[in-house]
Amino acid sequence: MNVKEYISSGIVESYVMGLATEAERTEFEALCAQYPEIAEARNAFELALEEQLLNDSLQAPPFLQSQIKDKVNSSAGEAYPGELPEETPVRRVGAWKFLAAASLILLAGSVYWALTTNKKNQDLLARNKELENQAQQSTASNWRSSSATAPGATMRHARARSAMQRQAAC
Amino acid sequence: MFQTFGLNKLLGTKLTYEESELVAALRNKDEQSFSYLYEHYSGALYGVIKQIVNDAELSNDVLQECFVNIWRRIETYDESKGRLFTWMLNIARNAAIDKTRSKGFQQGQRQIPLDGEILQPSVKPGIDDFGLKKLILKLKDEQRLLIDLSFFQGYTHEQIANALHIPLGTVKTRIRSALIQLRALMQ
Repeated sequence: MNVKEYISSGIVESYVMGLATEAERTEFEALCAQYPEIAEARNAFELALEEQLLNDSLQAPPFLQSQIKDKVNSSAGEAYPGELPEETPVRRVGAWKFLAAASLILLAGSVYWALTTNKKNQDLLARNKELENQAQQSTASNWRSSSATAPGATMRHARARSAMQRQAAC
Repeated sequence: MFQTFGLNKLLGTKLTYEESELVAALRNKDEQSFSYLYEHYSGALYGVIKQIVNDAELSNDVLQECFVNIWRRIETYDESKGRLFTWMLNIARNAAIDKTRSKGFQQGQRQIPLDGEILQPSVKPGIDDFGLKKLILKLKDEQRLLIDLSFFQGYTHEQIANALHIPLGTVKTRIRSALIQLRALMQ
């Protein structure tokens, strides 16, 4: 490549003043590493620009310096002010946190529900068994005597069955 | 480390720094070097900021933000890519352009309508008689407008091409030749 032509193309000034595109910047940085002349040309323009701006500067209000010092000292651990997210990202982070918290609560709730339901289920199953046994026993013992307890036992049996069905439906 | 610290204490306020020394001290979060940096460069950066923002109070905010960022982001400065001042200048310029695009920036101060139909120069003779704007006043109208729009107002090559109805490649070459002219005007 023609290094001289490249140097005098205006890319050096464009790069230093922040006007080069991303692709131009990447290329320029790679070429600076490869050709010392390009890096020297960059340095020469940087010095010229720096000198120009230093010689023709504008004094900032004196109170600013202490204000900046305070800011630097007081907020050592904060995020860079220039990189603070705008309102929308902040809100998005808030929504994300809220969703995470809500899903944790939901998870805890559903685990509790599952455990208690399971316990209830087992209690009811045990109770059903018991009732079924009782019903069978009373049916067997009253089979021939046709006593008044038989319909009651059958009804208990039916209630136990419907309780089982309700559990199954759950 | 202890020795350097003791030496600095003995010497009191350091008057000059080699750039590499200054960067090293800033990376060590040495407050004296930060004071030096501010005293030495704030005026140059403030001039550029003021010429972009055109408002004293907002310029103060930008300069403050800029130096706080320099202090905190010194780790990201890469000396293989350029001088410290160039890095700071770009932080200052970007912060100032961001400010002109923020909600708080008054509509009337916008140089260019958002649709980019009418591009107006922000350089006013008599007001901008210092710094880079003083220099670009000496350029041809078209070159001045291109540097004004790209450097001071932060428009991309694409936005300028669309607004001025010039091909993108032409915008790029004209900006570059304007910058070469600008450089020739520097002492």
